Amino acid sequence: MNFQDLISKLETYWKSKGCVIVYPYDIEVGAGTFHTATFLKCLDKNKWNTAFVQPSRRPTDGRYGDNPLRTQFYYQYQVILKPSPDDVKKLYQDSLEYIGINLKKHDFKFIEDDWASPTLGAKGLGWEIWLDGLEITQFTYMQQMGGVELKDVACELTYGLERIAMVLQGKYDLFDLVWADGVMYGDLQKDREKESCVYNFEKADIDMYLNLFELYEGEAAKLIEEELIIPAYECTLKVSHIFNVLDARKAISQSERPTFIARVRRLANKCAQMYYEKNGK
Amino acid sequence: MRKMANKNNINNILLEVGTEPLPAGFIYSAIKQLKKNAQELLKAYNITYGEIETHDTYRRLTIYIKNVDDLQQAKEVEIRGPSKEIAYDDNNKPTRALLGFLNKTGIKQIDILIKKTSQGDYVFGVKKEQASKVSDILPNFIKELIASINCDKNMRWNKGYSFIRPIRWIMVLWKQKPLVFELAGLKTSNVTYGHQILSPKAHKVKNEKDYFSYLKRNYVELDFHSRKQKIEKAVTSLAAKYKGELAHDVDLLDELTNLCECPGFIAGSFNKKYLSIPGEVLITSMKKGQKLFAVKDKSSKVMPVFLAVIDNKVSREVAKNICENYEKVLEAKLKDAEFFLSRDTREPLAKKVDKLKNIIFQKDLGSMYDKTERLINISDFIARHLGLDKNKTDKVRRCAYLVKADLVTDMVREFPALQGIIGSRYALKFKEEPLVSEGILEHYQPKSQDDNIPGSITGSIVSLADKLDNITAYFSVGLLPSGSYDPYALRRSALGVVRIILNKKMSISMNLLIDKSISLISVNNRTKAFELKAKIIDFLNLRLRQLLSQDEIESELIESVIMANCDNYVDIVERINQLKKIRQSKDFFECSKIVERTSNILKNVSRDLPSVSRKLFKEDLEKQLWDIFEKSNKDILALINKKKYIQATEKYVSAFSQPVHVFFEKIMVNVDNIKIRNNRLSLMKNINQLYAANIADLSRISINQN
Repeated sequence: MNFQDLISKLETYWKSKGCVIVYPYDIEVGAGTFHTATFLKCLDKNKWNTAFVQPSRRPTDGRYGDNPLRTQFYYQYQVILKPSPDDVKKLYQDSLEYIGINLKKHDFKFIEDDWASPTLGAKGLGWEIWLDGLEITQFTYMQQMGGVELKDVACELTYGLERIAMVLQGKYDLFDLVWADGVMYGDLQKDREKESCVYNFEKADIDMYLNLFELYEGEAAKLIEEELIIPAYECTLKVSHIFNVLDARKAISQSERPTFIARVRRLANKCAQMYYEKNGK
Repeated sequence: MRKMANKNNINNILLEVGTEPLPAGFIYSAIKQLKKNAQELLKAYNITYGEIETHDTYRRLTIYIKNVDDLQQAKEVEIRGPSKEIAYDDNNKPTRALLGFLNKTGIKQIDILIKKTSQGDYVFGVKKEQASKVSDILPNFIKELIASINCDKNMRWNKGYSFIRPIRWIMVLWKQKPLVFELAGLKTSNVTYGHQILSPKAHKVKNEKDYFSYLKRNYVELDFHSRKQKIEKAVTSLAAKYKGELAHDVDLLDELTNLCECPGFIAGSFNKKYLSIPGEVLITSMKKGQKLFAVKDKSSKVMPVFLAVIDNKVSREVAKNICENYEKVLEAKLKDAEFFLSRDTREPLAKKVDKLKNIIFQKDLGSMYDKTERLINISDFIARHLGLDKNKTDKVRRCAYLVKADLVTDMVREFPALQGIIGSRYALKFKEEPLVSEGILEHYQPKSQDDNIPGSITGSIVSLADKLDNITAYFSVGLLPSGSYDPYALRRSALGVVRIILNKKMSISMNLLIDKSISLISVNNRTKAFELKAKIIDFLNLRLRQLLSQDEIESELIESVIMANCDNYVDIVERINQLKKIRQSKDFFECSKIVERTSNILKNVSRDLPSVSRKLFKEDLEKQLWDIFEKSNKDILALINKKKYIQATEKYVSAFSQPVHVFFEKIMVNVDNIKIRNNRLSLMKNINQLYAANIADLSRISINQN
């Protein structure tokens, strides 16, 4: 099964389970959790089931396109089920069967992994799902978002699309994956991966990024004052990504790191708090 | 309350708590709590039972309580009634008050008795409480039992309940029949499930026997120990097939045992070119990345193979496919290790030391670079005190300089457990002396009570410096361990300090060493420094006592030597060993007597005494005793200096035994004239201190005359 078919299959499956299909967020994010359809929607009082693809950037994970498993840019498939259904584990396993993974023919394990994002003030308990020793999904019962304890616990299923395609196609180098007939993942992504690594690790202008960090932080703070929640949150996303680039560039010392992270979290927590006051009670 | 097993008894409770996958590291604790808490609860509920069996996998916690009585044991309760005066009239007939009490409690008149209390005589009655049926109590018992399992990180999952992971079914059989009630948002039933993939359908359990046999048939090995044994046997024999030996790892074995219900085994290989990666990195990468066992050859080198434990029962063909997948993933992970290796070794290890400025040691204690500077300083101090030559001292300093540098490598960031190992590998690569590399490797040792202490002199000294610096630094900012809370493992550090000093026979004054260590940390004022030092000395001495008492040396003896102002651990042990040899001798007994008597007379003397003055002696006996002291003093001290404590003791006894006892018989010490009295006390003190302050304060020893 090629990459684009895998995405449509997941979409068909989750649509049939009542999920609203939304689209990727158009600002750089590190994971589907940053999408407002996860971060903010988990905080409001209504039932919410959604599924979407989220291109994700993690500059420090770059390997110049030399590593078959790790890249600084990849695709997640994100599913949010709120409140978490009783049969969520079965729903997930069925989704794997649906896209063509016969679990009877694999080694399938749930490895404890309590997910947390210190920049988002998000915390959950759950697992990494391992298929033949490869992590293919993060399965989390989200307990807290933006520092707010969730009234209704949401289940977050984050599929690593490349990893799953590897299993389906039997190719354990993501650049060798078939995206569509005659088009490889590498055709679309390899140059971008190489050049982005050079940029993130070697060229990104540190002074400019430090400056941008402060500018967007200031803007977010101002928007929080004006109670423009979503624009404030979007500036926070910018701050978070800028921090990640600075981190990849090794421009932030170990001792300064916690302070930078706390600055991002402070903004995210304020946005979450405001959203919760308005929509969560 | 336990009773003998009755084979035909069906009065059993069988409970299975079915969950979403439990964290492997929690299962052991959960099942231990389940059993212990069940015992306590059964006792609290007064339920009599036979024995308790528990089983566990990542999906279920099972408890099987056998031979349970149908009824609770009736409790007897003693109830106090009216006082005797009120209960009986003048004719000793029951009053209305007493009759009212009997009526209210249902106690018969013949069952009452009169007891004395602090408030006078009172009527007491014994009442048997109504015994409930166990079947009525069970729902509450089970609710309390499950709620009693403690986990650090509880999860919520929208059922108004919390547990380590969601509870999805609860099976309860009482007398072979389902017992239904509500718990954790569920209805209990007789339903269980087989293996999550191989047999996912619900099964209605007919009876206890069916429960166990159904699970067995449906790919669930319920017993932890059977699973563990099976895995251990399989991977050991697979390793042997490769003519190698399993790189045994107890933690990994336990973890894998708790990650499967139906263990299966796979052996795969990886490209030989990755053998250029250090063996420890290969092993750690396999373990952390995919939970694989490594295999070593006869010369302890890692072989290009791995062993995987899967949770499935598959055909040979499918196993081959799974194996290929494992291999491909492993290759990717090893490529990552290669990537780290090449990035880390673009510059020599020594170049990384400067980057330690960016890593915090502790927020009030500066960076790891600051710590490195302290380590060089303390290590140098120790090396010089031990009289190491310049060459060795230089290596110790170099080792201290490089010892933390690997903390800034990508490899240690990825695999923190490899700290020290990576540093030593990179040191060798960049042509550091073998002794320096060895020291880096060993300086975290001993990591536990059973771990070896460093073998090399560099490792021993730097490890000692590192551990002492940890203690001094954390103590200086008030981060002392308390109770079971010891996040910086300072107790372990202290034990390490003592073990290294004793094992390496490092003759060093702890006073000077600790002073040195404190001098490197900014402490506001002298009083504070003084208090800090006292705390550190106590903390270390406690470990010394602990360690020596393990060697079954009498604790009194240890105490008496420590109290003799001895701050050199090697010397302390030497004294104890020598004194132990003469512990039962007449000399030892006599010596203790002298020290004890002279110590007793000084007990309430708090003020400083003036030096002994010949002019103030009034009696010949006094003068004679002082003569003896002046004559033998130097000889005894000379023996002590040579650490000949047995001979010193003999000499002390032969010099003082008789004259001291005669002195006490004939001379009154506490006379009215204060000058004469103090002079006599001072004489006693000199004799006492000659032994008590230089060898052992034997007044602390209980002596029994044979």
